[in-house]
Formats: sequence, C-alpha cells, structure tokens
Amino acid sequence: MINAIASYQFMQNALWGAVLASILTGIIGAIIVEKKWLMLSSGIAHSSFGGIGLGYMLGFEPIYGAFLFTTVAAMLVPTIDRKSDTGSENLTAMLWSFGMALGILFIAFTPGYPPDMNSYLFGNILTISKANLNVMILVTTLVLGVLLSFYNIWKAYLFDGEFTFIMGIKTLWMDYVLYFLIAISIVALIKLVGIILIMALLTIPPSISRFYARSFSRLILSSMGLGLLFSLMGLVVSYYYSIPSGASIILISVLAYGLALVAKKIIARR
Amino acid sequence: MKIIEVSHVSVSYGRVKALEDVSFTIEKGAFLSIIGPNGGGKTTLIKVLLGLIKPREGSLKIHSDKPVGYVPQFNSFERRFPITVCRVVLMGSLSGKNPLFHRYGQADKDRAHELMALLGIEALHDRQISQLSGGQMQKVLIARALMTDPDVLILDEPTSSIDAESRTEIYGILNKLKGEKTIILISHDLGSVSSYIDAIACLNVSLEFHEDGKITESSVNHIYGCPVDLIAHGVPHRVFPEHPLGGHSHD
Repeated sequence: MINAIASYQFMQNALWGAVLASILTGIIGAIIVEKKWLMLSSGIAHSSFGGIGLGYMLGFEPIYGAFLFTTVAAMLVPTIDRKSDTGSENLTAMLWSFGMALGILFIAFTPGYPPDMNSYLFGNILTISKANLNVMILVTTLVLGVLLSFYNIWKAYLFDGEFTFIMGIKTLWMDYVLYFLIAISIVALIKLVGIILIMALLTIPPSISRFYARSFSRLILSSMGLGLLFSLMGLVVSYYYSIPSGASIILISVLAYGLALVAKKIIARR
Repeated sequence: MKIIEVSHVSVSYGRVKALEDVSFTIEKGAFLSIIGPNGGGKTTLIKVLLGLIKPREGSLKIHSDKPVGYVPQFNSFERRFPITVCRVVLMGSLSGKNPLFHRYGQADKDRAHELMALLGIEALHDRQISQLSGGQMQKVLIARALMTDPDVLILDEPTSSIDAESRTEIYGILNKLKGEKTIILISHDLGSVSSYIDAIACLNVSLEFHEDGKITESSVNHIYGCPVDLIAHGVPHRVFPEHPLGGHSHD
C-alpha cells in the first residue's frame, strides 16, 4: 500500500482528502452534536440532491447546484421556523424530501444516460481531484478562521445561547453564520465521502469523544483525530479487500463506537 | 429611585394572552419575588425584561448601562457540555465588544475566583459541570451572572430542583446581595417565598403588586383560581400571618 501511495496520484489525493475531511468534520461535528442539529444537518445535506440534479439537467457543474440548494435550505429552515409554529424538525424533513424529489425530477428530465447518483450518496474518496482538494482547503480555512477568531463567544453561544444574547452578543447572526458554514462544509465533503458518510463522520467521532473530552477544544481535536484514524483504517481495508471505501469507513466507525461504549461501562464499574 | 419601569405590557402567543396590561416599578436595591401558577406568564415576563421578547403593547425601561444578570433554569442550557466550572463563570464577562481572538484576562480570572469564593464553590473550579449537583450548578450560574457586576439580577426558579440545605444557602447569598443589587426572583412555589423580600407580585396573565411584601389569602385565591392551602415550613418562609388559634396548624 505504501508503494501505491508513493506511485499513484489518486492515492495521495485520497490521503489528503481524508486528512482535510477529518479536520472539517471534527469541527462541524462537535458543534452540531452539542447543538443537537443533526436532523437539520442531514436535511441540508440531502436537499443538495436537488441542486445536483439541476446541474445535470442544465449542464453545469452539479456541485454548484448543491451549493445553491444547501445554502438556501440552511437559510430557509431557521427563517420559516421563527415565523411559524411548524417546528424546525418538520421543516427540515420537508426540505429534505423536497430537495430529493426535485433532484429525481431534474434527473428524469436530463437527456441521455442518467448520471450515477450513487457517488453523491456514498462518495468515492479514491476519485478526488486536485480541484476537490482545493475547495476543501478553502472551506476548512474559512471554518477554522471564523471559529478561532471568536472562539470564546462561539463556546458561550453553544453552551447557552440565551445568556449570550443577553450579554449583548448578536446570536441571531451567529445562527445564520453557523448554518452557512454547515452548508458549505457539507458541499465540500459530498464529492469526497458522500452524504451518508458525511453524517457518520459528523456524528460518530464526537459521540465517542464526548465520553472523555473535558473541554470543547479537546472535543474538537479528539473528533478530528478519531475521524482521521477511521478514514485511514477504512482506506486500508478498502484497498486490501477491494470493498467500497465509504462503507468500510462507516463500519469501522460504528464498531469503534461500540467498543468505546463497552470500555466506558467497564471503566465506570471499576 | 426606580430602576425598572414596566407600563401596560401585553404579550400574546397567537390568540393566547400570556401577559395582559402588566405594570409595575421596582426601586433600586429592592428584592422582588414574582409568584404564580405554571403557565401564568412568569417566563414570558422574564423574557420581556431580558429583551428576548418585544411586547405587543406597552413599554419597558431598565435604568442601567450594564446587561441584566440572569440565572436561567437548568433546561435552558447544555448541561452535558464539556466545560469546567471556572470557564462557565468566566463566560459571564463576555460582551459584543470583545476583540478578535479574545482571551480572558487576569482581571477576569481574579473576579471569577472571587465570586466562586463568595458562593463557596472555589474548590469545584476545575470540575466538569456535568458532575455537579443541582445546588452546586445553581451557584455556578449565580456566579456567572455576577461577573459583570450587574445592577439587576433575575433568577428563574432558582430553588426548584435543589435540596433544602442549598436552598437556605442560596437565600443567604441573595440576602447578602440585597440592597447592592436589585433582585427579581421568580417562583411557582409559594412556600419558597422568603421573609427577605421587599415586595411580591402575583402573576397570572395579569399582575397584582404587593409593595409591602405581604400577600393576602384572597389575592392568592384570585391568582390561583381556587383556595390554596399554604404550608409554611420553618419561620423564614412564612407567607401569611399566623393562623388564629384553633385553626389547622401545619407548621
């Protein structure tokens, strides 16, 4: 495998992709697990299907369509939520299915062979291009920059948004910034790992890290580390056994969660 | 000197009236308790005072240039958040004017330790908040609210889920702060209204204000909609004057 990494560009790209994906999912994952915005993130991710379909139908890069749809969904849910009593969960589910329905509709209108939508669901880390990596670097830098420049305030906002508002901090803006960052992170990750694997990488590493992390920064760092570990192990398994990389990364992550849970119970009993 | 002036405030959610024509003023340094049944609009009134809800009608004035110190209920924040006691207290010093890459200064840290000492939780400063008891958590929230040295302190049901000993301690702390700070304490529990307070307001959509801190049985019955049997355990918590001899004695 080491030889393969040294001699094949696609293996190097896959490796860099795994590193960048772990950094990004570590940060965003820790935030959405604390905020309990999993449903929302999943809805935003799936609504991207509409944009991908639109791209195929009109013949532009599908990922731009995905960017459009996720951003609009991320802005719409909280806006409608404040103006109605439907509830954000219901709105999310609505946009989720609406986005996917549009995607299927657009693909049906696309002339010629239907495109392979599977790669957007599960991604393929082995087909990442240099351009994909550049987008990842851009988004990761943006997310890190926004988080670090107001780190204490973000932490207070995540811990107790109401109190933070009373202190005179514009938390409504923070809501929208955070929704936007989640949307663009998901788009940046779609090509790499696919929508399903995004959800796994966003939730499993922070869920394990919560067992022992004693501060929010350690929660993020530990999630990044675990995400990278699972991704690399998944790649190795995928390389040697010729199984899809997305599936192997998810299986290893869930297995690790199970082991961590058992280990925690044993430690607690002693 | 008046510090809070609420005049003719009404709030409704759809067709449901949460507050109707609520007016009252609070003197600087006073200790006011707002009591009333669940669903009586106590939380709504707090949200109006904190600026979280804009009232449909009426106006509100708080004569203070500092944010209100707020001690929320436990369900309003993330109890399992990975953070230590000291860091939570420090959060009370944040403001919208913090520079980029803000870090807590030595003055903030000294102030946090001073407050933790005042509240008797200094030994817990490095403890995860998820490991705290209800009473300890409540003191952490009070310390956080005091970080900016606010003129007004609002506590939402601070004694609802804690043991009797912590309850007495917290009333003791509030009694120390009384005079220096204007304190508003919300409670649905008549029994926890202590003898420290200067005024009581009974809130059930409309508000009845009792300047002298004493409420009559008839006003309680009016607010709660039915006769309420008040049991005052321990003398400091007595709400009504002693019952005449021969009546039921619950103490």
